[in-house]
Amino acid sequence: MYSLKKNYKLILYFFLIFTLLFLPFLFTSSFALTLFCKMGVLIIFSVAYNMLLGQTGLLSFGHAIYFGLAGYASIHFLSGINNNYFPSLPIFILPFIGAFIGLALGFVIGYLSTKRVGTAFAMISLGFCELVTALTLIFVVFFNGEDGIQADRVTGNNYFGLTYGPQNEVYYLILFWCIFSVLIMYLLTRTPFGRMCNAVRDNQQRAEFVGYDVRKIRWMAFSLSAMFAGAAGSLHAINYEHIGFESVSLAQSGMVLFMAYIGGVGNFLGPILGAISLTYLDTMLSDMTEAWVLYFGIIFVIVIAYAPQGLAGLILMHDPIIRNKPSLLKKLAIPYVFFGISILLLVVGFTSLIELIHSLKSNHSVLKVYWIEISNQNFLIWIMFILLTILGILACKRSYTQTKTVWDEVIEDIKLGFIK
Amino acid sequence: MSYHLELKNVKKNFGSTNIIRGVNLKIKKGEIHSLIGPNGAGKSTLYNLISGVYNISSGNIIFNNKNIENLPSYEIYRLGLSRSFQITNIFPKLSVFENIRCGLLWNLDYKYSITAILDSDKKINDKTNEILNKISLAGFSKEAAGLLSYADQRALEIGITIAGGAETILLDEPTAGMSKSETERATRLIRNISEDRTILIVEHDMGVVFDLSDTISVLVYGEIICSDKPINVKNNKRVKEAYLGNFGN
Ligand SMILES: Nc1ncnc2c1ncn2[C@@H]1O[C@H](COP(=O)(O)OP(=O)(O)OP(=O)(O)O)[C@@H](O)[C@H]1O
Ligand SMILES: [Mg+2]
Repeated sequence: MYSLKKNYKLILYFFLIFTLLFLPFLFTSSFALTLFCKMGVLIIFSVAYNMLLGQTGLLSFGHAIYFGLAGYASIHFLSGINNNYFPSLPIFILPFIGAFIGLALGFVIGYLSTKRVGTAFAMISLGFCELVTALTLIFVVFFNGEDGIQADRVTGNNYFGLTYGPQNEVYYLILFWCIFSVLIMYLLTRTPFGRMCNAVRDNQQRAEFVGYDVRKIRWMAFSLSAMFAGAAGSLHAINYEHIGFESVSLAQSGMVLFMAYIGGVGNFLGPILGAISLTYLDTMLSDMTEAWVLYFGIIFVIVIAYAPQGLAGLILMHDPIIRNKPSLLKKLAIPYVFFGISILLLVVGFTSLIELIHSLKSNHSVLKVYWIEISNQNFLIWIMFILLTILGILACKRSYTQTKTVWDEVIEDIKLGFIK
Repeated sequence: MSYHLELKNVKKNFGSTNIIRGVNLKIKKGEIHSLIGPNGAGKSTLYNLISGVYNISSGNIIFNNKNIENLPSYEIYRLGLSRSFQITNIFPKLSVFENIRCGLLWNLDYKYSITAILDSDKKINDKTNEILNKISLAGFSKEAAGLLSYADQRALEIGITIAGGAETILLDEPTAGMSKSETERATRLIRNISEDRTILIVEHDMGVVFDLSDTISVLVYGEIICSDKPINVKNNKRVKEAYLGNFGN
């Protein structure tokens, strides 16, 4: 039984990797490929970040430092290959160099900042982030100020016939590194160190009373997390052939925090979900509407307030039910459907309203929302979407309470089973 | 005679208040030693001093002929002294199984390993299951520890405390807040684990105390007023006045 389940999982993963290998043949547009490359890089970065946030319970506002500085270093190495300083350095090992730089920086900065936890730790990380951002703008020789640096990745020896000219070769480079580093980060969670990261997060006093120096665990987690962030930064630089100060900035640090949070910090797969969905949204929404930053903010606030365990958490909170009494899921189905419909109403109403308001600033009176063209001069349209929004809010409120009542009943039911 | 654990004139003040006012305490190897006293006497504080949660203000704590005062908690644990807490102190989000396994890691010499994959390591998993059986929680091994009932969480905490095989165990009110049958179960568990261990236990339930102990020490206002065999403590005049009242008469 157990081995069957295990095999089934393995088959699933092989299928997944297989699909990923063939993705460039299914989506041939350069737009899609660029999107996938970006996702791959950010998956590594957010899983690395979550080693710190979700696994060890350390909230950092400065993790872009390791990502960005490794990126700068990689760009310099690329130019080094270009300028014949080390012409035979293979590009596919640049992420190793990035990882090493991340590790070294994480080791030093981690030593200084893991002395503290909680708010103090977060503030220190913020301080370092601002500091490094300032450095990139001050030391123009190395960072080239606001313009950042460019370098050509089509250079040096073509190992295995790879030139990295076509985007799909970069895709495979990133895919390889993504699978490789995510796998290692996963295996790390299964080691004594990984288990103790969780233990320190849950209860640091108890962790000390099973013999562990919690500071050392935090420091290790910090360094290793920075190491993988460095590998991601390197790939980022190769992908764009450019690196700028924004890659070490608070904005970049905030982005990875969003990804981990929205995907779900409590689960290893969470940040992967977060990186994929936010990169997708980021790209699509920014194409479709100018108000996308607003939607982004709203999504974040709602997730923090109502689903602090993120997308993965929403899925995984059903785990105890599935394991103990799967029949109870049926009870939840109807409230879920109603809740889903209510959310849909609210989203359609609210976003249309925002778009209507937004359209007032231009001379065009006709705008397109959800594939239909409407006019912002039509009074009825306004009334309709206002009503739809109000209806959506009421429906959401109601179905939220309903769903919660049923949910609590179900959990009570499960808990009853625990009492001997 | 040298003792297994000995406190010599230990003092602790928080700001200007003296909470522990010169405690002398001697614990023999292999005994069950109870520490009793009214609320606020300083029992938990004394535990925190022995186990390195707080630094002491003055005095000495000697464990296995080694001075351990003011060492960090994890060092004290590594010397073989493990403890439970008055307020349940487990890893709530980890599974019951993981809770126990974390308790085993250090003493099985895994240390900070980043290469050992625990799930495929038969030795530690078998040992974990063995302890789960001992504390009767094998049935819940996959559940998050925070979901267990109060009594089960207390049992789990004892499980974590003994998992690493520490020879000396400090228990802080292990049966507090339990029903009669739960108390009986916990008492049985304590007796069971005491076979090859030295145990110091803080307990308010006098039934449990007189039932289990080889020696009882009475702490009142930060001072030990009596440390003796149960029968002598029961009849001690100062103890009766200060704490027990007419218990047992
Ligand atoms: N960190 C601290 N700072 C200041 N005062 C403290 C601190 N810890 C404990 N105290 C005080 O020390 C006294 C003894 O507390 P302690 O918890 O040791 O008592 P106890 O004997 O364990 O009582 P109980 O039976 O209620 O558990 C109390 O008056 C408490 O307020
Ligand atoms: Mg106490």
